[in-house]
Amino acid sequence: MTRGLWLRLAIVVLLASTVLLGADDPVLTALVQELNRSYRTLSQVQPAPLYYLEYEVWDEHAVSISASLGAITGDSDERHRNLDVDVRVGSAKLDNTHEIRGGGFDFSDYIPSNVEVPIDNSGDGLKALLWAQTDRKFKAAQERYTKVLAERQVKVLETDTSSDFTSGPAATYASRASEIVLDPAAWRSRLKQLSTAFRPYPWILSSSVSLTATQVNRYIVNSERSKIIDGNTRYYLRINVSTLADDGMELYLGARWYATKPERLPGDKAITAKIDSVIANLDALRKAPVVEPYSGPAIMMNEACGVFFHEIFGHRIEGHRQKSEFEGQTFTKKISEPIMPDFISVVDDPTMTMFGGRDLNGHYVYDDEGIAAQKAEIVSSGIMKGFLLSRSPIARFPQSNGHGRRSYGRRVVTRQGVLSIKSTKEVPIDDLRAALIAECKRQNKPYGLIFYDISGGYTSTGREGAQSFKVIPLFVKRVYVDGRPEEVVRGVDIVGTPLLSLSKITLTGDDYAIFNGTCGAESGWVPVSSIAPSILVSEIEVEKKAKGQDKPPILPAPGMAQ
Amino acid sequence: MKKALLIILIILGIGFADNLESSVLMQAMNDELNRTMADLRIANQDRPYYVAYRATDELVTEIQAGFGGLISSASNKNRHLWVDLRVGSAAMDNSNFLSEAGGPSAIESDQTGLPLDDDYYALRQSIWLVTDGTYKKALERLSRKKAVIQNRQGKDSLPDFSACDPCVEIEPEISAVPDRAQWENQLKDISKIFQRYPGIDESSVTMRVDRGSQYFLDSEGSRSRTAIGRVAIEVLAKTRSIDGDPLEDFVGFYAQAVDGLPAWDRIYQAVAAMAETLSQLSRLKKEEGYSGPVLFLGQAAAELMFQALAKGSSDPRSPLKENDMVGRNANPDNLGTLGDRMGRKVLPEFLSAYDDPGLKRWGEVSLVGGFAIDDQGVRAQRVDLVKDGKMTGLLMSRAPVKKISATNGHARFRNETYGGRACGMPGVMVVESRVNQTPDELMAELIATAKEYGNQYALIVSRLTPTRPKSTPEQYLRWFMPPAGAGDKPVLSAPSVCYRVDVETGKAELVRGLDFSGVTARVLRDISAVSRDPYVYNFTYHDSDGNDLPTTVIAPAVLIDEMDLVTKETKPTKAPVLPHPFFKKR
Repeated sequence: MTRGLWLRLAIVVLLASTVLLGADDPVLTALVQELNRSYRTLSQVQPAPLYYLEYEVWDEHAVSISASLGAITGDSDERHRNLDVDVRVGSAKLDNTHEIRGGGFDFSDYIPSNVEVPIDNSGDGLKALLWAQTDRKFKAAQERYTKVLAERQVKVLETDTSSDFTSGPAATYASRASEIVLDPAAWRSRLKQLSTAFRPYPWILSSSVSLTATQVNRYIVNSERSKIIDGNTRYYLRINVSTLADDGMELYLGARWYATKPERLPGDKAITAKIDSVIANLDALRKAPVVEPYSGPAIMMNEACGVFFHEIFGHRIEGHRQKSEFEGQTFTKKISEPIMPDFISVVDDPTMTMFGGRDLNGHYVYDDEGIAAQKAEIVSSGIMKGFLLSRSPIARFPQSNGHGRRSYGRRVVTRQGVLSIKSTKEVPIDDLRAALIAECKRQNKPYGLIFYDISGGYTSTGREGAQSFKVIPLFVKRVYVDGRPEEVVRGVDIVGTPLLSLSKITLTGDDYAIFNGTCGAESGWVPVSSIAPSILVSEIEVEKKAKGQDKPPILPAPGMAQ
Repeated sequence: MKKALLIILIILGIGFADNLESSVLMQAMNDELNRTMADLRIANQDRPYYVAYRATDELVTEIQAGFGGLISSASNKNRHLWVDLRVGSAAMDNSNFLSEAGGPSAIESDQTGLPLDDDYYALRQSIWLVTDGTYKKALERLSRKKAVIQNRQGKDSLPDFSACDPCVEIEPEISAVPDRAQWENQLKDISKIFQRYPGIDESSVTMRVDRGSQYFLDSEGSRSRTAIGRVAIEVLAKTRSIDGDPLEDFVGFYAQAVDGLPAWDRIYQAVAAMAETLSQLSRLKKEEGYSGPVLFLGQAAAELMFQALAKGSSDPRSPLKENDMVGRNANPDNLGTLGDRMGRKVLPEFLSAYDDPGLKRWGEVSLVGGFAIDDQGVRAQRVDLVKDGKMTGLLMSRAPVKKISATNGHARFRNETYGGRACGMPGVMVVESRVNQTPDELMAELIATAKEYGNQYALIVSRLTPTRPKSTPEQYLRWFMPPAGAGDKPVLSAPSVCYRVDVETGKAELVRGLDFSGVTARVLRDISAVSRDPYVYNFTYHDSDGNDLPTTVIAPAVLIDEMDLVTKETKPTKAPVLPHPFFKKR
């Protein structure tokens, strides 16, 4: 027998087992039975029949252990299952989810609507809750649909007249998350040991080393006959440390590792080395001078660049923002137009599992609307090509590309998964640094800035506010043109407007790196990744950070003698 | 000889275990407290004149079940520290003041989680930081408070903190041995009871077990370790009536330890009875209102005494409010309404009431409301609240009021919108009567009074709606809509189970949809007769701010000569479109 056949056979067996895996799953069975029963009846209720029903169950096992200064500070091991019920009444053209313009603040959007369901495969227990929640959601949907219809009568037509929903294919998929593999006792002593590294530093206010392991199976069934079990097991190791500068400025730094298997997390030596460097950086930071507002050339180092793109660009290419009458719609009408230098391309591809030998935590196979994740082409050689799309279609983009995401209890909107920035104008990082100095000289600036670490930021995409962003750098150095050594500085936030900032990228490094993070927005917290090289921007604007007014602790840290 | 040695060893052993100094947590608190009192000071500012640390060290087990399924189950170790740090003087300090002052942002203040390990170094670090934050917040609050007082003339000059003798106490430690697997099964079985009641739409059963110790230490020499032992099983059921009114009932079972709970089959029976009654209620139409005598039996009588008397005697020191905004959201639970009734009549003269947190048992029943040492480290004392109908005492913390300066050890810590406070709260409240009647006599009197009134029916209330924990959506709603402040809430909650009794035939039928109208604290003075045997009511008081306070009220059944009840206002809902999946086959 040839090898090729063996391989094909193996694949067939694998597929068969995948299907079977789902078939006798008690949770899946209960979801399907109750969904079908509900759909049959509710789709006949006039005047606003149900036309789409989705159940999503988040089956989660989370183990979390944290230590500080040699002692355990948190230790939990919990299982939960949470249910989301999504109900659409009316028609795909116009349904209950349609944006209501005016009418005041609807706080029900902000109240999590998940329900905890049994973890022990009790079909009766699950079905009772499915029934009650479906009924509640159905009635609320009918009520809201009435409001939507009423509004139609009194308001002008929206600019984007796309439908509210688009149909999707029936999908069958089952890939369960592997069990969490870890020895809690061993991790406890390991984290305790690692966390003692912060003890010799009395100026540190708080520090922690923590491990979080989550095994999440998302069950998604809908009235389009999709039956999906999409599982992910994730391990995070985090270091956090903070202090207060003498002038009251809060300073914090950290590091985080992500892996799909515990053996892929770093060893003690690498962690300790990272802790030492984080402490050294924080020490330098608290003694660093506060930067005055500045506008000039800067380098955004790879991981920081990933966060930068996520904040200032990624959130503006989320499909639902192109549709909402409340959004600024920076890029809505820019399709086929240049929006950044022609050497840059951007995609968001949640199907990527790894990059450069490291796991990507933004990866998923199916989104929370039961649509297979797809690579979304956003920018090709500087030209705007598309958006991140959910099943809420927007003008010229009628189909989802599998980016409808949420955390449980929230309503799905389009979100990023694995955002990837690719450049064709790459140079080694040393050359990028040389180019920064050259650019400073050209602009007659005494120094440029290098951003090493960014914590995230705020981006105001709403129409009422300015279309600006603020990004919070954590670790910044000043590079002088006269050859003085680099100097750590503090107290700046990056501010700007997205279109202008993107046009200022002049060159990139070849040092692509991953940022694995968790992003919070309307639809809750979702794991995301960014892949980016370091970039040189000819002009960036920084302003003074709002500073805390707290005095550092009055008494010295206790027990320093030890 | 051998025997003597063994005894000595045992004594030594006990001595060691009961030596507070051997506790690393206590040691760390003690050392930081001494340093704080000696050295903590910002130049030109007040130094602390009093510091207290209160720490809890618990294993908390929480289990939830619903309709035969296990929803969740977890045990977590939990250590928490509260700091009471005072600047100024006992005459005027940073307390008794509701303010938006937030304290430092980078450093925690007032309370913090503590490391779970007995690691002196790590514990000290946490205690040091939260003390620093609390000190800075205390200074800010005192300066704001002085500003408010300066701008308001004629504000009373009550001192803020009363003196009391240091208290030293060591209770034996309780070792925590959770038997989660067994409890999970029991809970699932309880939740399965609802599979027999098609009339009930939704139900849930929760169990929480707290085991551990509370440590207290202050700068006046008080030091104590008391046991924390609480278990609560709470059952919530919801449905709707045939005419669309949402209906719910909530019953709880409480004890200090699992073996103090009623036997499991008694719990099953009680839950089944609740389910049965709620099912029956769901089939009834709303009652059209009632005026006349009302007999409060069992839980209803105890709830009446809790809501009208115990809450009214609680937290009598109304804190100064920084501004109107703060004032509007203050005291959502209507506490302390009887604070100004000292020496005046609040009950008929044949009734008296006291609160004694030292009571651990009442006959066969173990009581949950008690505590040996309160949350200000003060030994709990019996206080006579009402003697022969006249108000003689209030539930006091160390915050003095006009006619009472000293604490009686009833301080219980409550988180509030504007930070937490130790408030005088009930522990075990007992209502006693000089004259009483047998159940038959009481019933006869009810009927007779109703007849005098010209009524065809008399009313018996056997359950008043108790407070229950808020669901997640309710908690969020609270965030958007703060609860109404004092005065906007009725004195009595609506009856959840009541009966009308035909004055001619004596036949009792369940009625639904009644609510009290125009009830004030005066309702207590209208009590005309009480029963001989008191009802022992163990419960958790779930207040509006999310605090859960185990409480006991022991009270006889009471007859009130005249009350008005109206049809309860409700928001009718539509019937579920589909039948319940479990009951659809039947």
